[in-house]
Amino acid sequence: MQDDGGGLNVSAILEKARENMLISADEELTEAEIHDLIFQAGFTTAPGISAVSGRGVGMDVVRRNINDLGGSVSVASVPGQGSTFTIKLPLTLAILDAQLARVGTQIVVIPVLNIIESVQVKPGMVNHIAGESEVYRFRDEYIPVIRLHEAFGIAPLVTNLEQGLMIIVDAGHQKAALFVEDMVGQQQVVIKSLETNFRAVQGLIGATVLGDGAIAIIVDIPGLLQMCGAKKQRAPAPLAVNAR
Amino acid sequence: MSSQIRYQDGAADDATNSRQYLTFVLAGEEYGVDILKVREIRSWETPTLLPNTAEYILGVINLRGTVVPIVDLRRRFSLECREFGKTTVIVVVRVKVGDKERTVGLIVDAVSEVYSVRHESVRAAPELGGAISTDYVTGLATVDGKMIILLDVDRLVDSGIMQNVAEGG
Repeated sequence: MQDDGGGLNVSAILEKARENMLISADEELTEAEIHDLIFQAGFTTAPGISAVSGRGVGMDVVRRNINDLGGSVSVASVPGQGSTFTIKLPLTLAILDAQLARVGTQIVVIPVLNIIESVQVKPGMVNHIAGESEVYRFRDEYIPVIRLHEAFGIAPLVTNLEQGLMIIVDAGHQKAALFVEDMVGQQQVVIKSLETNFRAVQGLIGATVLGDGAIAIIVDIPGLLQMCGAKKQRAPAPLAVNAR
Repeated sequence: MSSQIRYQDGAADDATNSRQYLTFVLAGEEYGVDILKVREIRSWETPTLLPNTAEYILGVINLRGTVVPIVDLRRRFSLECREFGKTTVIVVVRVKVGDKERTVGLIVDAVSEVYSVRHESVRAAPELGGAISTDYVTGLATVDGKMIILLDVDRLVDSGIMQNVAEGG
């Protein structure tokens, strides 16, 4: 990481550090030691406080975080030419093959592993049971339709099944048709746990950061099916009729 | 005493017997949190929605690659909801819940000031009941004639925010 600006102002840093008694007035420091001072907690050379800067919460957090991850950060600076921040991080990632789909304005990630196929809905392909539950005829079986926007409480842009797409998913013992508004693309994503800072959320494996910096949630297909089954008590049980 | 150690310990300065608080405004009241808990202040951005969570969890944002949950403090405190405006910011705090450290974003109307609050000027909060429990209000301080409600963010986040709100969805 490099900037093209003026570099670190060594005299300003030194002056501020003496003022804040980070170092004693007569202490002599090498240039590298002075540069290192910007990583101290509460250190700032900003003259005033704005909504986001000037409180000295910044570089110390950067260093602490990088250290927590097992990495390191250092800075080298040439006045008039700029500063170079060197960040070293270890590589530990969990990667998933993912299908990106759009629901409302959000992107939702579906593991490719669970997908059988995706289809465009034509009239007559979706039937209703008791006027409420929707089933989709997939080859020679009926599978429940899960509208992802309803399951996840996302405001939809399209609710007509024929204007969107169905993704047929398999959770091992059970299949379902997920209604999404659009397919976006296929890519590999890095799984970020929600438990790190929050807690596990039902129906989700975790989240990921997309190329544009936005966060997308990753659907846990078995968990989602279980969640929808429990919510609507949609027991297919076709064998129960024969048993009677 | 080394000056460097003193600085790192700046929020609990024994010599002046005071502690630094970052204050923010929420529905006209000023609240203070220990400045050492605050990691950064971010401008408002729309979070990605999370299903099956409490209504005051607005979603998650991308904080340099980490997924951070966002709590609407107005909703958390059962205050009237307001459109997010120009001064609306996210105060990112690092809290200790149990033995784990977590990063959480709190949505507030505006950030205000950093105050040094002397221990003797802090009064205990009266038992009031309601949405703001005295569990996470450490006390009330007076600075320049204004009342500041001092919050214990560790307990605030622990009570409710981390708990499993959606039982069976």
